[in-house]
Amino acid sequence: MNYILRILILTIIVFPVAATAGVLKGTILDSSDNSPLIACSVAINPGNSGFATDIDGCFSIRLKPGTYTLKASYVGFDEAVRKITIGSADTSIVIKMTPVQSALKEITVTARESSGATTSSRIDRAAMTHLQPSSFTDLLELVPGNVSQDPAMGSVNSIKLRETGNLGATGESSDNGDYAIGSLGTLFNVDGAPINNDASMQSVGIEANTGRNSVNRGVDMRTLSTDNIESVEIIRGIPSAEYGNLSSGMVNIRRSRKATPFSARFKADGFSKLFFAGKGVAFGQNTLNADISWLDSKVDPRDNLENYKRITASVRAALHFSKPGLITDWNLSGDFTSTVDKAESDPDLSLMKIDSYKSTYDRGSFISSLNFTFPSLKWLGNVQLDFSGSYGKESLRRQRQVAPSRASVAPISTTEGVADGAFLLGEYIADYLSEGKPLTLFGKVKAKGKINALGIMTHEYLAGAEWNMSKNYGRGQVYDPYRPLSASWTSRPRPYSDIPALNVVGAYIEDAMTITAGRNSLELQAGMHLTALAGLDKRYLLAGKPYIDPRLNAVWHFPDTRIAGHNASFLLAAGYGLNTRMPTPDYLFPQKAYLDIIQLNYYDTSNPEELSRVNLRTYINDATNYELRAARNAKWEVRLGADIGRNKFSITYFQEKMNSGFRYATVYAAYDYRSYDASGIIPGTLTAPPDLATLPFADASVLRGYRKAENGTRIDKQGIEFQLNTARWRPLATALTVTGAWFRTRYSNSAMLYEPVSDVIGNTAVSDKYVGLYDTADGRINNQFNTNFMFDTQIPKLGLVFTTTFQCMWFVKTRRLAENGTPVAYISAADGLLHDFDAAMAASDPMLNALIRYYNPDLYNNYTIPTAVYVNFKATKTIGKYMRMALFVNRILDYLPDYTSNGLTIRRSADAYFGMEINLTI
Amino acid sequence: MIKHSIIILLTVFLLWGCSDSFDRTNPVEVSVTLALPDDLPDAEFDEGEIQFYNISNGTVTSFSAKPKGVNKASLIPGFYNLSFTTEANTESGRILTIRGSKNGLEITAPANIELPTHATVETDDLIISEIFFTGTLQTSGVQYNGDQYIKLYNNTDHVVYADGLCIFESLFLTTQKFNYTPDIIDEAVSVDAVYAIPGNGTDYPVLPGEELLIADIAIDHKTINPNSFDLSHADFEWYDESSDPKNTDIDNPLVPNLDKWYCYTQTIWQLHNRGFKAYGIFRPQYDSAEFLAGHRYTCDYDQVTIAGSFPMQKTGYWIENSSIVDIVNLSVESVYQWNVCTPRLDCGYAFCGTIDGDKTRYFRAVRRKARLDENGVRIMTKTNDSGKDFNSWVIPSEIELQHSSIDAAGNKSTQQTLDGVNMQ
Repeated sequence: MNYILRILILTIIVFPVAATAGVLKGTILDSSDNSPLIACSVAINPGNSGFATDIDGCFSIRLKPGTYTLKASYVGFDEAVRKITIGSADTSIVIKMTPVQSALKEITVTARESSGATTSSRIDRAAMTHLQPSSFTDLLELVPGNVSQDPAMGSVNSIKLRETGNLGATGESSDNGDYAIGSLGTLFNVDGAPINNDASMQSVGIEANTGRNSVNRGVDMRTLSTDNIESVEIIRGIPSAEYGNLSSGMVNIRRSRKATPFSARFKADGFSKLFFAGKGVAFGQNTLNADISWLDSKVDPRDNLENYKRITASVRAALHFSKPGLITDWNLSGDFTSTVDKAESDPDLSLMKIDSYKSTYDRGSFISSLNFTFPSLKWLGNVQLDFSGSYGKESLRRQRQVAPSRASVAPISTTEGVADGAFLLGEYIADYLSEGKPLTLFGKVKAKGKINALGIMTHEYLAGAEWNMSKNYGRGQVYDPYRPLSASWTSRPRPYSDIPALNVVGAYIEDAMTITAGRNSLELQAGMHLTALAGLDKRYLLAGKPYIDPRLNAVWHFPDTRIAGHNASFLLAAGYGLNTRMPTPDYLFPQKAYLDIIQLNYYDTSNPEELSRVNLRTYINDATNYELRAARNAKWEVRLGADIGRNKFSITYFQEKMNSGFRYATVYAAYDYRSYDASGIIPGTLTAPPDLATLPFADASVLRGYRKAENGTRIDKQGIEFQLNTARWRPLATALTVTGAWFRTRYSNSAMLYEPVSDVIGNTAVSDKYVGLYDTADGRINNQFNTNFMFDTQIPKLGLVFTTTFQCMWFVKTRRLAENGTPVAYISAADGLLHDFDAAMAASDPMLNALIRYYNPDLYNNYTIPTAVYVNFKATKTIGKYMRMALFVNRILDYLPDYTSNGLTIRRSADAYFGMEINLTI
Repeated sequence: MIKHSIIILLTVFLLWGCSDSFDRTNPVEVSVTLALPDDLPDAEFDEGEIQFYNISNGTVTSFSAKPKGVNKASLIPGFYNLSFTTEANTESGRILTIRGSKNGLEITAPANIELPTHATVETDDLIISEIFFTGTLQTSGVQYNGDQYIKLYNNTDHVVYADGLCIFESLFLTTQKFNYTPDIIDEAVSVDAVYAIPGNGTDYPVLPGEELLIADIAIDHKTINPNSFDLSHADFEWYDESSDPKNTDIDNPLVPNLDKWYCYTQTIWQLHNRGFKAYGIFRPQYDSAEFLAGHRYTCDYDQVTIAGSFPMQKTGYWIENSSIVDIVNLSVESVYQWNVCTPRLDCGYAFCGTIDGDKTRYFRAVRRKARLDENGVRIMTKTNDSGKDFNSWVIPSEIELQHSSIDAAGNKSTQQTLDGVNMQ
């Protein structure tokens, strides 16, 4: 009964339709590349039917004959409307939809991996805008191996490329000057001119304010504003031979030189406020850009006493002259940067009523880049003449209330020999100033040309030379030696203007050859860069010694094929290069080492101010290491790249080895002095400080050490970097970018180390008598592996871009290198000579025995931080014609499982970091 | 929506996580058996007291205990310090204090606890009567610590020669207890500084009821810090001679220096000014060469902190318990973890302040409790429990005697006491 009824109903409904209807078959494509639009919504009237296209962008519908209106709409595309007449036969239709032109175009919000000869990441304006950075540091999040970090405005921001960075015992990053070569060896170029900080020597002398010490650490990325940057190229691989005096990689910053509307940016987050305003105007083919920016940030938003401020101003002109046979482009810019880094203790909380640190940095610079292009010359394409310079005024002021907990001794003599020192008897305010006035000059000439040979080969060659000078004219360390910053201060004031200028000269030649063989092509970039120090004293090993860096990059492009209906192309690249970094003036021209040995320490208990006497023998050592060499890093890498349709993939394996990084190491020697015995003096009987001639004495010798720069740092880098950019998936308007890296970095010493022990046996400090020389490794091997998954969704129609990034740090591992606690030799105060260490002999001498350092074997266990996943969210929305709003929340969600370390469960937590900004464009 | 679901899920998980795996409120029964000292076979033991101190909430459960047999108690599960005290009468008529203690017991289920006990060590030598380790404050409020001192007292009825007696500082902190391996605490005290009183055996007699003042720097400190006091009358000072201007100490030629045997630092030896170490004296049966050659102590341990657990090592020297004359553990309540010696030598601690870095600790000392006998001679309490034997956090005797400052503002001391508390 039921069955019959169903058939009946079906017959009534279907038959009349079937008899008269036609089938409409449609395909909806993207007009720009004819790719199907999946799940595009289609509405047909009259009939009011609505449906979506399938995975091939197709649909089909049965319609009664008649005239219909078909309306296709798709996010990010202009609506398409068609009139269709349906007869009894089937009708086919292809609709090509046009992407929306009026609103925002699709933008790249990630770093793009280069497909050229050099492995590099390129970050464009749009990605920077979406990232909402406060300083250049924030951009590095986009480089493989990095994850987002909270701003650390209370310490120097040094760049790390292809390395884990120095880690502490629990895998936390920690600053260590021994491995500063990583950032020192990374060249920052702004519009072709290097940022040269070599002559900057701002530090607090022996009292190292570690996190704030930027000496020998290269560029402090806090000082770089990002708002006028058009694009950044971060070269991780082997740079072109054009660039010298670098050991790691380089950062090429190109700033905006084009007509832009007046734009302003206001950013606020938990740590900082940022303001930027800029405009570019065009006069014919010439442009003029000007901008200013201001940043006010705090290390801790609750603490007003520690902050970092930055003001930058920039004017840039691009002039273009053209006449037959010669096109002249002249880029000029003038910049000013001023920063204030300040920290002081709260007098209400601290015992020290005065304890302040203020470091200011004002730097003016100009860049001129003159480029002549010869369109009609066959062998010479263009000639470039660059000249740039900067002059800065740096001032580091440290004020501190010093309360010696006992009468301390201040050595004050600035000449070698015997002299009285001063007693520091009571509290005082120490006022320390380090004033630097670094001047840098840079000149460069470059010629480029291009020829075709044999029809299958092109050569693009370049050659040139450069000169980079740095000199400090500052007054240097200025303080009262009777009022030192700490009661154990033994250094002396030093003017920086006495330090000679450092001239780094370079010359280079390179040829980039492209050979086409059938459908294969090979790009071969081969060149060499020569680096040398000019005008250096003959005593230096580096004087007149050129370093030649061969650099080679090759890319093989395989023939295009098709995979799964998409165009596919593959490339295989490999590179090898040596990279040389010259030492800085701080390493080459260190301050003299003052060694003061107390000969008499008589404190008169009855009248300490008048009758006490401290007598010292001062030795002044030239701490210069004339044998210092340049730091050299050997790099090689292989890279595989694939483009399949709009999906891009690249994977790189690299290795870098450096055994000659700079560090300071302590060297020891024996020093003679006369030890006066004051125990016979009866206080109260003196009328004047004791006369040395009347006191019994003994001649003695003691070991003392001082720091000397040496090539004692070893950094081995190894790793895999990868990046995948997928095509945008239309239904969700979303593309996925996967970047990540595995790094294994070894940080250690490459020379044996003197390590004094602190034990005192009897009345003699062991280190006064013996210091051991250890054949040991003082560093760590670190491993990390991360992957960032960034989903970027762009709806141009709504002016909306948002990204959700899953940042997965799969693991961070660190292991201390095994130490050898038994010295191979020891230096003895008795003769100042090195003796072989004999463990059997040491067993009977507690002094020698104390040189055997003991290490818990468990120290060398791996410390592993397991997976940490953070989710970051960023969104940009265009509102109306003039305004764009953006916000970001880093670590909106996190997954931080507990883990066990050495029997202890570690719980982790994360705080969100968020902020927002408004951009006005008028 | 997803976020909401996550929050709900999280809430469910959190609530789940709160459910308890065992009942914390129902008392459990524990039995305590006392293991009496083997070396007192004929002594008669009085009925004593067993005390369970609940570390988490501070409650004390105490009851009288039979020295022989099983003592039962009903306790709420938790962490406890267990202690037992009684007296024993020996055949010779001596009365000895018998003690036993175990710290950090986790009691979650009925348990049988065997508690070893011991007779306190009788001392026929000098004892530590005062330790001033906190230092003073300068008028600006900054700390000054050149005026630290230790006093030794002759509590016996005969002359004691101080010659050869050594002062030591413990290697370990009373505020950090880790799994130090090897553990030698039952045999020896590990130390990081040893200074000996000079003399040939009879050079420095101390009469009954007399005191020795051993200062860091024996000068009139008022010349450097007006809030400090005069120590130029000290009997000895410890002087860390150095030719390095970074580590200068002051020597008063009129005051003999202690002989330095060993110190862990090449800067200046100062007493831990927050009071986290133990200080003691011992009478060695050997000279410094023998000590240095045969008493080196190296241990491994895991340093467990909030940041993680780190393998570490420490190196110092050891002193056998039998040579220890007196040891005083110092600590503060908020961070106290253990006594760095066997409870036989000291089972409590003295303190200045109650929290780490207590700013009220300056100008205060720990002084041994005393009373006057019929001849007007001070009799000091010595039961090897520094917590009970000492008056903690009291004005130092030198400040009382000199009527010097008791705070940074320069207010003067007006009191005169026997031991910081008892009026004369």
